[in-house]
Amino acid sequence: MIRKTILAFFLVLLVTANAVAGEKTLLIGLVPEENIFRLIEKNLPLAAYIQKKTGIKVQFTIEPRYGDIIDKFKTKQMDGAFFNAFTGFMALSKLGVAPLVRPISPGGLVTSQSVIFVRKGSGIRSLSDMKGKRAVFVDNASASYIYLLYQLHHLGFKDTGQFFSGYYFTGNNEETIYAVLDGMADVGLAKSRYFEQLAAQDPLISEMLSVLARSGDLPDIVLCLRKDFPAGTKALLERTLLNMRYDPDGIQALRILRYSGFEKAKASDFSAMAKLAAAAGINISNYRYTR
Amino acid sequence: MKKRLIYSLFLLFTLFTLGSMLTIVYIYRTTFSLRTLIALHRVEIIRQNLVISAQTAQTHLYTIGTPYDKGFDEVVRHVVNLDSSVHICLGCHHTPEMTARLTEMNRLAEDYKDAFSNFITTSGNQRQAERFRMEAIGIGNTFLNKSQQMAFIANNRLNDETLTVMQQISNSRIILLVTLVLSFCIALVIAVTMTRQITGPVNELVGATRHIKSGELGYIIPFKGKGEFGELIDSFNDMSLTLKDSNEKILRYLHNLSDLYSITITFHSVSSMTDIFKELSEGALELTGAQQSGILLREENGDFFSHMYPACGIPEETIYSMRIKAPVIEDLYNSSNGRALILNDDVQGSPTSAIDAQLGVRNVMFVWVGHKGRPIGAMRVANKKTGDFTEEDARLLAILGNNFSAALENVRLWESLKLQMKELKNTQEQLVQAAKFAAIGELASNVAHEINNPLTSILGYAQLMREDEDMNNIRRDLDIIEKESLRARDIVNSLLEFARKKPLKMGLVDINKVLESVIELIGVQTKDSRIRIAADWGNIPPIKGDEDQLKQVFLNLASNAVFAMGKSGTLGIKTFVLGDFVNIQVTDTGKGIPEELMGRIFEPFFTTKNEKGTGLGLSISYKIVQSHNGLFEVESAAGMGSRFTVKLPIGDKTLKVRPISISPSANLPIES
Repeated sequence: MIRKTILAFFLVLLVTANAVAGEKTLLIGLVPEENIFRLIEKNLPLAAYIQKKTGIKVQFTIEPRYGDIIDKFKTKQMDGAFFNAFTGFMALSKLGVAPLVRPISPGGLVTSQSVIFVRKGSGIRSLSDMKGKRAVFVDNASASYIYLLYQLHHLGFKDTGQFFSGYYFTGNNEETIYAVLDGMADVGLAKSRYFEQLAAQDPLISEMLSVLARSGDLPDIVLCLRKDFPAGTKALLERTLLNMRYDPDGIQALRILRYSGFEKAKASDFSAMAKLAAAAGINISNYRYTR
Repeated sequence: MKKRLIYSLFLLFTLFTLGSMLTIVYIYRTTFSLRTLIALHRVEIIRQNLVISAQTAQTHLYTIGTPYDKGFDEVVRHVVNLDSSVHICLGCHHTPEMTARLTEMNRLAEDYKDAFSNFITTSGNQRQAERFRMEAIGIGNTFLNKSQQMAFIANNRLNDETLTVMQQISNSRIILLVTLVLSFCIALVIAVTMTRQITGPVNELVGATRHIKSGELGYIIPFKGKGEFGELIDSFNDMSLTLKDSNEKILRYLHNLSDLYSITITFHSVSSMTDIFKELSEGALELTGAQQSGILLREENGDFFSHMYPACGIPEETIYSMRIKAPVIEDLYNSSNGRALILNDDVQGSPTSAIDAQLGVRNVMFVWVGHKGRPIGAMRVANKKTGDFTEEDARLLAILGNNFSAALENVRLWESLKLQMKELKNTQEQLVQAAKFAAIGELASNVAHEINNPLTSILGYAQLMREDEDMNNIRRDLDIIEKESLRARDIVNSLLEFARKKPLKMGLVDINKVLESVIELIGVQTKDSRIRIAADWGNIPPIKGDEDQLKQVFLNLASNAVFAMGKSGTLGIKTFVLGDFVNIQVTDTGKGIPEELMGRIFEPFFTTKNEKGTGLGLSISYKIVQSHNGLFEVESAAGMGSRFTVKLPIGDKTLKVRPISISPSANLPIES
């Protein structure tokens, strides 16, 4: 019995070691919520930390559209991705990814709301006032866009083309906010975290823009791994990320990302997003999530 | 020399160190410049990477959506690299102008990222997207232009820096070369100079040692110099002079000793006091260079010391008036512990001061002659021809005095010996006379005994003849009478021969034949006893000797053997050659000689025969054997017998060992 146990232990060690040795480089996808270059730059310290602690090299990949991460997850052979709320929900449903960790801040889990904001002086005071106005969105696979569809659904409209006089996608939250501020559109939708960050930096935003509606809390970002990701490496990665907040080097990398640490994520974290999508009348199987 | 050596080495070391330090400084500076050059090249590489990244990104702006599109990830990587390169450059130290340029580049990079990202992500608004694209292209071109300007500046800097480095390398080479050449030259000069400075004096020293070796003591090296070699040569010159002085002193001592030896030898070869006094006085003059010399000796009654005659430089009449009371001399002797009294400046303290003035004495020296701790005489020398009397003079005279003392003693002993010899001679003459009387008595006894038998026969036959008328009988009796008479005459002649001292009549002697005649004589002596005579004649050569005297020796030995055996025993006579000697052994089986008497048997008049012996037999035999260059060996064991071996040399061999060898033997091999 003891011999069998020892043999099994060494077999496990061997498999784990092989798995780790075989997964020398992890390809992690990023959703372009902000300037894609800065997003990558912000995440490089995290990659360096993971490599330092685990020996696993982390390489980031990014696509111009949110929904592309769903389509290219398999073609690019990504090992995982930092998903936003909606792409995460879709990846869970379509790809069967496994949530690993999500960020936390001193106040608890990092969550975001989707905000509908308008330029003051646009005459828009209610959601219905938005009709016939020019709108700008982040991406049709962003949670804020789903929130807009939810609101339009309640107003009785099925798509944005019927409701707005014109609209376009900037691809990231910051540019969406600045597009409304610059008068490129009357209505904009973005993640509350970015809106508040920019408002804190630029007083013009609070001065010129006003929030018309706000969704409930949704997961801000969640790291999910492909479903067949080696268990040993997954455990090592999870342990490294969870302990990051206790390590000075880890804290340094987290500070750049404006996080205080990571918590273990689970599939249920996407429940609110699932409810919102359902309330928006979205059928996930045929939703056109790419532009 | 040591200082010069140290200074030279210090100079060399300093020069080498300075050169090395200069070279190190130049190498350091060159290395520093090279490091700067390398850094500039690295910056240039970064710049080139930056340009490549910017150009790749710019290309993407034109080729996006076309077959030449390199893919989004590749473009993102280049833009990130571009931004990183700018940040790297900005993180270094630059001139304010360059910092401003880099800050501008950084701003452009940020704007480029914004425009690029917006262009990529915007959709649904073609005009807006195009606007972002054109903005990005414009920024990118500006960025590339700025980069080219910086490349121009960097190239100039690289060129300047390269020229500086080349110059510094050249300078380093020159400094190193100059240092090495200069060090080598100075080292060469130092080596040559030092070698000359060392070998010069050394050669002088070697030459000087050869001079001294050849006997030129006192040779002076003319080298004049300071430092160690100067001191060494001064010391050498001093040593040379000292050697010369020492040698002269030794020669002088040898001369004095030679003189002393000659004088003292003369002392011991003369036997009269007058000669000794004469030799002493002349020797003292010769040794000390004095004008007056002589000896005062204690008179026989011991009260005075009087000057002896002859002496040198003192008139005879003055000599006899020179008498000093013994206590005066003894006080001077005791107060000086036997050391000489030297008066060079003031002669008032001289014990002969009363006469010194008369003799015109300038300086005087007394050297005491002692015997058994008492002064027996005083040698007096005065008026040294050159200078003062010295301790050395005193030492020489003391030796002369000691020899004089010994010579004096020898003369006295000689006189005494002569007296004793005279007494001994008288005694010996008396003893010889006594021995002669004893020998004569013995001879007379023997003669009487030996002659008595023939006389008895003659007398008996004469009486028979008177009564006998038969002429034949008478004639036969007369024959017997004649025969017995001849026998008596032979006996008398033989004994006379034995008793008479004759000079050696040397000739070739057949020892065996001599021994046969001895046996014949001994046969008379042993005819009434049970003594057996065993003869063993060896093959021996004739020897050179006096036959009669040798016969006397062997007869004496055989006679003694017979006496020792009494009525029975075996007398062995054996001859053989051993080495260079003919050996004649006479053995007996008698009572032997007691060990305590063995050493005395050759003494004259020593006998164990009481009134029957004279004690001269072995003594005379010994002298005879000795006169033949032979020797005696005696072995004896109490109760077992004795063996006397006479060894006589063959030819002209002479004896180089003690002529007598006496040894008691516990196991005397007596041959029968």
